[in-house]
Amino acid sequence: MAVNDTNLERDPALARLMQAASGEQPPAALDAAILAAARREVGARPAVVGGCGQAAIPPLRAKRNWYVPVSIAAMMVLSISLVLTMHHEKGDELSQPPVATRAPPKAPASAPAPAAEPAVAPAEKADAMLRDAAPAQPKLAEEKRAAPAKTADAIAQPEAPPKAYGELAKKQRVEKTEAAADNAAALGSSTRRDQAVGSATREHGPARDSAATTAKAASGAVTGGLSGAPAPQDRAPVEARREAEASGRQAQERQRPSLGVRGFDSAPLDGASGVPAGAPAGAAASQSASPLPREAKLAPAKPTPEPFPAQAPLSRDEALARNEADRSTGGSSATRGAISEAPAVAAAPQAKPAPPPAPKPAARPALKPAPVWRGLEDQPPEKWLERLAEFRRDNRSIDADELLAEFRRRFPDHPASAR
Amino acid sequence: MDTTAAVSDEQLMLAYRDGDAGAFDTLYRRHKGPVYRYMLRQCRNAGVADELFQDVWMNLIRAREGYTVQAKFTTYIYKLAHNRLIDHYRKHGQAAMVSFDDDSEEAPIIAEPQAAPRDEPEKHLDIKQQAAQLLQLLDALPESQREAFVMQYEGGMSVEEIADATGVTRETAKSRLRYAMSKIRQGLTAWQ
Repeated sequence: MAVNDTNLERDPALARLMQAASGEQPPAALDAAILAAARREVGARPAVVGGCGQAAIPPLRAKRNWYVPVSIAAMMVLSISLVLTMHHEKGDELSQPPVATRAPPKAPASAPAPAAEPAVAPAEKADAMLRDAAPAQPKLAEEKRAAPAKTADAIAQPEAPPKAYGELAKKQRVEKTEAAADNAAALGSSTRRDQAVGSATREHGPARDSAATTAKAASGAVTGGLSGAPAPQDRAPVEARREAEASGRQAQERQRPSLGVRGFDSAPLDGASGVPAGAPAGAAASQSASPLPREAKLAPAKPTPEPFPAQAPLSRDEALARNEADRSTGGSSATRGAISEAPAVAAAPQAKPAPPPAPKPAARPALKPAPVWRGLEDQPPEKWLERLAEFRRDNRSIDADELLAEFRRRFPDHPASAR
Repeated sequence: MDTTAAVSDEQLMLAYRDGDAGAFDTLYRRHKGPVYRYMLRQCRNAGVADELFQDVWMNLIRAREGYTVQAKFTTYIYKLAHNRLIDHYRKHGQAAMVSFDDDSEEAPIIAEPQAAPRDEPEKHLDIKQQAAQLLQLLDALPESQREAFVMQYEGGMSVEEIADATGVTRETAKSRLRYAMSKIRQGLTAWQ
């Protein structure tokens, strides 16, 4: 029997009969088991990203897990570095003397300058001023009396520095200055020595200012003995300068034997005190009572406002003043100890404006040195050149420079002057 | 009206693949009866039908991640059922498989419908009795013809879909279906 395609379509009567016969259903337990399995399968595995399902772990939260520790670490590093930077900057700031805060007292320090000028004068006046100042400054006088007994090394120890941060830098500078001064002394170059000492003095300039202020507060007198005790915090720079100067002087003393022509023959040393005989009568007494050296007393005569120019050649007066100071203080250790207290106070007149040079010749009438060209006034240029070569051989550069300058002044047309 | 009726079976299956358990619930409610009856008609044992029915749906659940829309979902689920049934036949004996190869038109009708007594019209069977007669005629059909008939009337599948689900050609599926309908109509007419 053939059956066409139309007979293959759904017969409604058969469909109705099939529906009536289709009463069977799966058991409810089977339905529950299948549905539970379907839910368990979906919940057990993470859904595919990008689909309709929910992601097990939000990817954004997973990426942000490292944000917090990294940010905390970065903040800690920045904070520590900032604190260290501020610490170092503060240390450097404290190591440098507060110039700005001490500037106002510096100006009044120059006020008693006219009164300080006569300090180079008679020793009786200085002694009288010392006696007047002693009751007002018992502590300073006591320190002054104890000062000569101190050795240089003992004084060099810093006493309870108030600025702990700056102390280390200060010590390093002092050591550097001493090393430079020793080097200069070994080379025998007075210019280098002056440069080293000058740098040391410049570095500790406020110490002198402080000492000047102290001197003014004491009595207004210039004599270093009245206010010779420097402030405790300024003692180390003073010692550094003293050490540098002492080493320089020792080096210069080694060159001194050939300096007999400098005209100091007319001013012999006064025995143990080392004061030139031609000096004012009270100078020795003043030195015994006051540790202020002659160099310090003559310091106001320097015309330059800057205490120690770095590269400037020494003038003749400066050279003479230093030579005189060297000869007067280079002898006994007691004298050296007395000097050790002085520089801070001796610098007090330097803080003043340049005093008129007029009183200086009157204060030192016997210190007029003989020129280095003494005896060559009537000699031909060849003799001058021989003397110049002799100075060069002896490494007396200052004298050689002076002689050369005078030679050029006298013989400007000479070929040697053109060189 | 059920709002999920507008959603096709394929969309529901894709949603379940993406993790929507609710989509599977809807899908299961739609097809659980026809598929269960398909199993029940083929294996003729409720216990075995339950087991096979559960296996079919569990296979669907496990295969959800690799599901792609290549055909109607009905074809997909009945293919799973057919394969599970073949496995069951292979496992429990080859007797039932014989009828799958019997597609000839000369195959005898298993159950000859009993002729109704025409002299007693008041005893005409109601629709329930006709349904029971239909089930008897259906049980008398060979496995392949019965499968094609059930797929068409339970699953609403076309000849092509039946061929796809059973893994035969369209002509084979059409022949099976034609023989099945001819025998059932012949039996029902003879009974009426």
